[in-house]
Amino acid sequence: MPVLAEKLNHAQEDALQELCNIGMGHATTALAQLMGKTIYFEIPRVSQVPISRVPEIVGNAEKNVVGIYLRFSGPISGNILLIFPQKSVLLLRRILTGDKSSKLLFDEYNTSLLKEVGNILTGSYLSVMENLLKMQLVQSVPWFAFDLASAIIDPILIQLGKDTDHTVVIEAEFFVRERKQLKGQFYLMPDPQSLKLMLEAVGMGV
Amino acid sequence: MKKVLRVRISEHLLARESERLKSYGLGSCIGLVIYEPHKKIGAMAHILLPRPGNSHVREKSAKYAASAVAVLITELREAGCDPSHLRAKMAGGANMFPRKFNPAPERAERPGSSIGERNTRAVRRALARKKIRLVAEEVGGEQGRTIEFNPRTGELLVYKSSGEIKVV
Repeated sequence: MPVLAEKLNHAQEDALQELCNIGMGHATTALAQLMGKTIYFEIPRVSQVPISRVPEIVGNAEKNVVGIYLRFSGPISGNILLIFPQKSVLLLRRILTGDKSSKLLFDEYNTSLLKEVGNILTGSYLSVMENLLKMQLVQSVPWFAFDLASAIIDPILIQLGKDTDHTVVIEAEFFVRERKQLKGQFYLMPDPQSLKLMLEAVGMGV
Repeated sequence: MKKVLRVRISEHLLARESERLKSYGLGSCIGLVIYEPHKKIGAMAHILLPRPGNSHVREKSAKYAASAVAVLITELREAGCDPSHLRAKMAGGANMFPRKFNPAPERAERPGSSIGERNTRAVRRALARKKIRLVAEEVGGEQGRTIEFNPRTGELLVYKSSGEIKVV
């Protein structure tokens, strides 16, 4: 199996970071249009870590969060996970629906709303990848979870863990300029076989 | 202050009377404890998968159910425990993307919808094969769990993500 065994070098890390940077730019613009707010994002971070360390990167070990998970496939495949803290979920709902209640409710309407946010972010992110990497990608339906972030990420790590003990995590935090408490985390974890192709596509093959 | 040892994914640790073993945020993973009640020694593994994808791999790690059971038994035996006195407890194996939140497409398989269950079954089987009695379990369902084991009492504390705390 063509799994990238070596460590990423700095140029490769930079290339992946830049790819994510452009993707996040488009994704947050799409979200900004939906919400009518300005959205900023932090410079993405690329880390190559043992799978056992991923829960620490994702954090939120004590408090439940909303997780929206999508898979993408095509010439490259991988996992995208969006994490929203509880406070952000309430603010997001208030902005999108006008509902001012401070009680979390995950009925079909509310879960669909959050899944759609995940759909839009992921869709615009992947369209950038498609353009830059010159390939077609298909995204799955969004899946909703409300739990500890480290528990939500378990099924993804299980999936990755079948082939490898290490993974690349590309993460970026985004937030609303006027309301910094409204924030979310974006994580992209390519399947181990896809990393090599991704690097080749950005001219950083090994 | 008791010393709390953190057991991460695919890892395993042994603890004695004055220590605690803890695993955070188990979703579909399994937290398995094998312990010797009289000697007050216990070992915990954080299991990711039932078995290696490639059956030729004979890995000796806590990553997989079968090898995790073997690794824990070896550690406990080296610490002076009699294998016939060992007991086991486990928690985890939940379904993190439950149907209640994801009712839609019939054809699309919910991510990891069966992996928690498969992990649970694999651990049960591996324990039975080594003739270790499973005395308590808190598995399945649709909630993440954080667990803490006390070798002195043999109690496994299970903190569910709903806030509920169980002692098994």
